[in-house]
Amino acid sequence: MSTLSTTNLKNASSASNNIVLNSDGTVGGSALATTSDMAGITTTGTNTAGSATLTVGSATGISAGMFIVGEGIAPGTTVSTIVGTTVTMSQASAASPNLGLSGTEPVTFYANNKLVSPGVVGAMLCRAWVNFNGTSTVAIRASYNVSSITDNGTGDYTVNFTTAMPDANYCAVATGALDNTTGGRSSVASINSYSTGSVKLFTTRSSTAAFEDDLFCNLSIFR
Amino acid sequence: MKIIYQNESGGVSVIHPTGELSIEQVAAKDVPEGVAYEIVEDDAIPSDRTFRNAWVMGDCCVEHDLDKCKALGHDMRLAKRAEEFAPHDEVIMKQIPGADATAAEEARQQIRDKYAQVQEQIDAAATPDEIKAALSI
Repeated sequence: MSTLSTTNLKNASSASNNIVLNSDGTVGGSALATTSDMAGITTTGTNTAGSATLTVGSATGISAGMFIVGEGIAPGTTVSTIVGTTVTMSQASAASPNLGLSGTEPVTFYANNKLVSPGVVGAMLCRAWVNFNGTSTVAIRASYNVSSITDNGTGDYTVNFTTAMPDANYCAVATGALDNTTGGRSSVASINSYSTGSVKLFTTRSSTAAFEDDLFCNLSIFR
Repeated sequence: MKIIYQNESGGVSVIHPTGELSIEQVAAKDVPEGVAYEIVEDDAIPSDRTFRNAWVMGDCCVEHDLDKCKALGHDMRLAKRAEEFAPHDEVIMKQIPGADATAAEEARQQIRDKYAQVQEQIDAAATPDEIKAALSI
């Protein structure tokens, strides 16, 4: 096996370097996705349920091969062709339930040919999450970027992050369920004491506001 | 393994590591600064959380403070009594036509008497289990 030793990779007809090979082992160049690429191109669309034809409000920036995300459009659907504002999709939209785009709902197009780096993805992902059982012997079912749960008392927990948040302005989303039955007793999960290293989670029974241990305690952190 | 320490309210906080870090790293990071802690086996933590807010640091493991258990038992007794009172309170407070307010008041008195006995049993209890038995939970 031979080793290609170079600093740039470029298509013969391309104006700029597609991939730049940096001396520190990282890569750059136009092949890397930008935050704009990650946001995609959003316009409005018209589509009859069960049809592969999509008429968009604006065709600017849309090209064949792009992924399409919209109501009734199956994940993985791509642009086969685009003529004017008429997009032919790689597969028809869902026929049932009836989820055709009416012309006012958003439809977004994403590049299918870019390299994705942590730098553009990091801020779009959940930075930490945990699912644990707060009853009986407290047990963590699964987690990410959570070093531990501190059980401070009935319905009173602290979730500690393995890697701290960049600041305390994150969005914390919590849910709680007292049991695992349909129409079971409902619970309220609330949050306070936001800090970079941890956040407090409380669970209370909705009917009495009394602290109570939940069978399912869930917390997600976005920043 | 768990980490236990006495919290600001005098109770016990129990740290449950996820496994992303070693127990020593978790202790160094997640125990409040300057607070003494112990690393204990899982079975040092009670699995019955009925009187969770009465847990205190013991010599070898987490123990129950009986006075706190009795105070919690008292609150539970009041809550259970209120639940049983509720339908009779409805009759008396709303003066529902056709409903027998006198019978409702008699029923309330029976509930009062029953829970007065429960309170006596709670006061006399020597263990958390005896309090649970008095409350039938």
